[in-house]
Amino acid sequence: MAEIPEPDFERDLAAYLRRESKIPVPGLSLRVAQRVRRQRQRSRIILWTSLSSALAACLVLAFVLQSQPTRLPASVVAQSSSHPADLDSETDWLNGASDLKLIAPLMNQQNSFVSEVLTSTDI
Amino acid sequence: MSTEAYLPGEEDAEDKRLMERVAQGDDDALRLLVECHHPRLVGYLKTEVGSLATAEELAMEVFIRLHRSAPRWRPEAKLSTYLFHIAHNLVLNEWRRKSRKPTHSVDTLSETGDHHQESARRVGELEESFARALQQIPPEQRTAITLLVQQDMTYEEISSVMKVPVSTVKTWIFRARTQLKDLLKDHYGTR
Repeated sequence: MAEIPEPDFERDLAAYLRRESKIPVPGLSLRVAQRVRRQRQRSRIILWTSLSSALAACLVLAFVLQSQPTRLPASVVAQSSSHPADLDSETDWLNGASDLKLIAPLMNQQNSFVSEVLTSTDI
Repeated sequence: MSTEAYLPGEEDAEDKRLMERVAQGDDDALRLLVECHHPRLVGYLKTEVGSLATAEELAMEVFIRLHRSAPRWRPEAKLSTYLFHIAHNLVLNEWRRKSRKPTHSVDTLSETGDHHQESARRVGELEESFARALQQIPPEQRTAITLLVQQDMTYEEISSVMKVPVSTVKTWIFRARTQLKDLLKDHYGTR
């Protein structure tokens, strides 16, 4: 019967850890190469998809910009061309007209207070 | 164990050449690198995570990351050191993912009481004791002593892999040895 060796911590630790210091796995390199190839294809698809999306967006933008002036109705163009100051003066005139409309019956009426005031030379 | 600085050799020059080819998209070069480096890597990963299937998956991930970083890789250290650094980071992620410390197959270790030969029985008992003792020491100490003893790395290489100073590596290894001896005092006495 073989003699049992004396316990030696360093030797036993090394023996324990080195049992599995190298574990060859058959076919691992092929699996890695396949996965790398799949990732490369995926990134190529992503690249082409994003490029074609960007191109499509550019074409749509160009089409919209090109067709915008002819598509707008004439009233919108006219409204957009009028100055805000013009709008204010128009509003003033309209307000004035509505005031005149209120007092028109009194003006036409003979001996009314309004016609007296308006015809009075003292003002 | 040598603690001298690493001197590049022929194997490293070949690794460098292969990495240049990988950076240019050569899949055959990548396969050669995998063939050359994977057994040590899987061995280390198996010791760290306990399961061979997980170790294989992690090893594949290491090489995929290597492939991705090939254009940026600079041969400042051994390629194997770089590979083990990636592997160590993946092991840390795996531990975080599982939210527990690495598991070894302690529970599945066979009972050795029926062995006929006394020496075989003793080896079985020792293996079980080492597995249990390694479970009980802090993970960074276990990683350091595994890289030193199992993978024959220098302190400098372990420092590069774990991204800690050499003095820290030495401290961890000293503490690991002390704690392991203490945990295994039934086998080795109180020396």
